[in-house]
Amino acid sequence: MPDIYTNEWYDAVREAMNASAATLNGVPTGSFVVAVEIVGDGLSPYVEQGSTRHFLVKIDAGRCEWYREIASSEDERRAAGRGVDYRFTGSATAFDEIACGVLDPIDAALRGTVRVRGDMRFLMRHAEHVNALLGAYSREVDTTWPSGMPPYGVPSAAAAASDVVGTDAMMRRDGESIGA
Amino acid sequence: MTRSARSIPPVEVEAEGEAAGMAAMVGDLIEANLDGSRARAWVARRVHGRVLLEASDRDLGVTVCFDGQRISVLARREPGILPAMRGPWLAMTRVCSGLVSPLQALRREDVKLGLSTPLTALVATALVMKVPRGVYRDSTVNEQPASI
Repeated sequence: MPDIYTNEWYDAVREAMNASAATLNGVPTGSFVVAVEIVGDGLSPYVEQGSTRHFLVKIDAGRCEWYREIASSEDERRAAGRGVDYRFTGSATAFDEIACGVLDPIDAALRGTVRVRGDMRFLMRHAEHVNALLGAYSREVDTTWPSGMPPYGVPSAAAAASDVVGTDAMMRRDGESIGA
Repeated sequence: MTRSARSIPPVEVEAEGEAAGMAAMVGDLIEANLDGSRARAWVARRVHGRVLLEASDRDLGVTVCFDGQRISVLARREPGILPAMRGPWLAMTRVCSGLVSPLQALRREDVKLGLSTPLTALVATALVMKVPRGVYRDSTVNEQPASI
């Protein structure tokens, strides 16, 4: 079983996603790139508090072509070969809990524990596909946790994530920047 | 041309609340739809009322408020009896993205309506949330990355 956040683990996640996607009809025929930003919250031992780990996932014709870690958001365009279509941001605890099946990824997105940015029209169009990919990420990989695994205790992932992505009470949508 | 000149009402989203993520997604969806459809923007400018959208399988809901000037998406279920659309989250996404028509979804009982006045707000919400057909030329995702 691969350790969390290693190349072997990324490959295992990719294979699990592709096995899941193979069971679906009507997957998107184009490609899109998802940036994942995992923010250290002082609870997860896998991301230093105050720092962020950056990942890119490329989905092509419904299959995960690659899943890799990059050094920083500045490397996104070079690593992806294009812009990023979606950006998922959340606390390390939230992502750890998703990876070990403690936190449902759709719940995390709907509650704002993980913030999702990008064109919602296409994300909703392919919601079942996205659901299958996230389900594979969350439940289909046997992962080892060399520095301990969640739940890490209080505060919960939801509370920690609100520190990461919390903003003013009401946001005006027009002109809002969602860039890195 | 500015947004006001095109009479596109601004969309405001409540950033905190039990359904903050759902509110953000719904807000993004409505904003994109209004940007791409004069008819939707025209309707959104003229409707007053509140509508509850509930992801019944997640026990989460948002309230979409029209006041003629703007659309506000609250990250919670407003108390009181409101016109509502309820269903599992994936069923709601199928309706919003046009994979299933609202009528089909109702017939199949994928989603349910809670009928209350004013119904015009419910009809307006269904319209502004439904992605215009032309957006999906095929099943590909957007060819131009959003550069987010």
